[in-house]
Amino acid sequence: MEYVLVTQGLSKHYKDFKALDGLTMHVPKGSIYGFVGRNGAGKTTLIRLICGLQAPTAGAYTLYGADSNQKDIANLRRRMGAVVETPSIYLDLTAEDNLKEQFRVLGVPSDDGIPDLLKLVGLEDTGKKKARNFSLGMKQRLGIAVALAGDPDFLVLDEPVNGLDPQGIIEIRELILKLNRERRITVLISSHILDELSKLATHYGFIDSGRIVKELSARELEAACRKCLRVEVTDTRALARVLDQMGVDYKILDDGQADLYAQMNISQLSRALDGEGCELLSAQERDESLESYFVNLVGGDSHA
Amino acid sequence: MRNLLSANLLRLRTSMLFWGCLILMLLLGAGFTLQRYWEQIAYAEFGQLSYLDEVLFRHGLLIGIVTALFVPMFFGIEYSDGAIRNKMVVGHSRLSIYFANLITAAASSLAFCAAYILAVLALGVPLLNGVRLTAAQCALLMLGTLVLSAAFSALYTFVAMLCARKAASAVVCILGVFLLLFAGIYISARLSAPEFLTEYSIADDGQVVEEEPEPNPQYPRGLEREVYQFLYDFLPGCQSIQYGDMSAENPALLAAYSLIILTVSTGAGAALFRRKDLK
Repeated sequence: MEYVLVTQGLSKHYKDFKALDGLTMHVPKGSIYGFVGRNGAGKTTLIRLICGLQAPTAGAYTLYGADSNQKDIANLRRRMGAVVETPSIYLDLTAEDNLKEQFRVLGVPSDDGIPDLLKLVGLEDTGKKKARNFSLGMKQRLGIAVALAGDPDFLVLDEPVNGLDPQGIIEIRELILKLNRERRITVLISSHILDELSKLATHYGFIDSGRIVKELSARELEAACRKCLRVEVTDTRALARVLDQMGVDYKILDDGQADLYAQMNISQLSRALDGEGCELLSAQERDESLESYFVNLVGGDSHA
Repeated sequence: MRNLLSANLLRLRTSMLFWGCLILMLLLGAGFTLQRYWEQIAYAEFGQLSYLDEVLFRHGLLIGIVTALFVPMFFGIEYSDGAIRNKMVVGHSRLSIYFANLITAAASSLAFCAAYILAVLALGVPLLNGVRLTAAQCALLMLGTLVLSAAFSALYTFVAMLCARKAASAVVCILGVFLLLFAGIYISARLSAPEFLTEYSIADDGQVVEEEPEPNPQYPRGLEREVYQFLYDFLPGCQSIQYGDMSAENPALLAAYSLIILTVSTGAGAALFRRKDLK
């Protein structure tokens, strides 16, 4: 698999506090990588490091295969766009002037692309209105437009839907999906709103105390979170035979437990098991959401 | 860095703060010139004449204050609005960001000086008497004030780039320039104090008797005087006082000191900014 970003043992210490502690993660090309972690877990610190705002205390990362210690990393950053924490926009300028400013920063010779960019983020009708008077959602979209000014193929968004109303959340979600599907932009997105993230992400990285505790694809997560019936039986080999005959998808967990991925008639299952000399001891319906998966993964003291 | 300069210049063009400072300097130039003109008219019967060079170099006194208002506010926005991140994320080095901002600050400061000089020339040439200084003296004084404005810009850029809080850096710059100006006034007073004090007494017959002159304890002597003189020439606030009251005797030396301040503050600022953690 080709990766846009790989971090290896990345650490960042602020005096005695370890914001990142040997973090290793892999962002596949073309993915929407959901970066999940509770407050203070190190999400924003990681984003600051890969954006070059801060230097790591230890470890390194590769961007498009180039090591962070190499000189050409600065050139490769031109292929990146980012919105870190709050949208980075001049509040006393209009949306168009903000983009003009970023075009100058990038050395884009012509401003011709600005109307298209404004249209892409739905700000084409803002006219002379200063960014100061924009709603939070509009500021966020302008921040994304500024990040897109250099036509990047890797976009980093730090909590892009934080504080937005439902309509704003939908707009940002649709924009991110559009960018990923139509422009093939790889997106690294950190968010507290796990339900929202689950509607976007193709890959996940779960961070806790400055370390990645789990990385998996959305498909793997879906399998892990699939609605299932957890049964406890006296003989899982007999259970497997019965389930194979019934054509039911299942997963044996240990000698006495298995997860069944189907709507089951308990009486029918019990009779069938009885015929194989196996007893059904208990049956419990399980439905794990991304939120509960995360809580189980990092401990339930506080939520993301 | 050319891209960064282009972006800064674009923002200058639309900056109310920049145009406000420019207009302020124009008004101050016009105001000082008209004041000298009115004094000339008011005291015409005493034969008072006002000359252009009495006001032409006074921007040296003002530029430190106006730039202290402008630089931290203009560049502080990059921190407060987070726009500095847009430059770093797309790969601009910290050194190029620092130097682009320094050049922009110095260019703005020179533009403020130019606005003042233009106003003085526009009104002063028709209204006041000519210049008493030689062309070489004028050129040296002009060079000195312009290098001083660049030195002020370098000091304020240092503060604005290292202090992420706009309000704090503005307070530091404004307080700093007034402290430097007050230091200049104090040192000027010490250096111009008379070396000896003559006391007078009234004799028994009612006549005023001049006593033997006694050394003035406020008059700095020896090493103390040398230190005061060095500070008076070296510190930007003291240089401002000298240009303001036209007492600068060696503008070339003052310009050299300003260049040292510019170089040292830029070197230190760039080195510290390279290591600064940005949010």
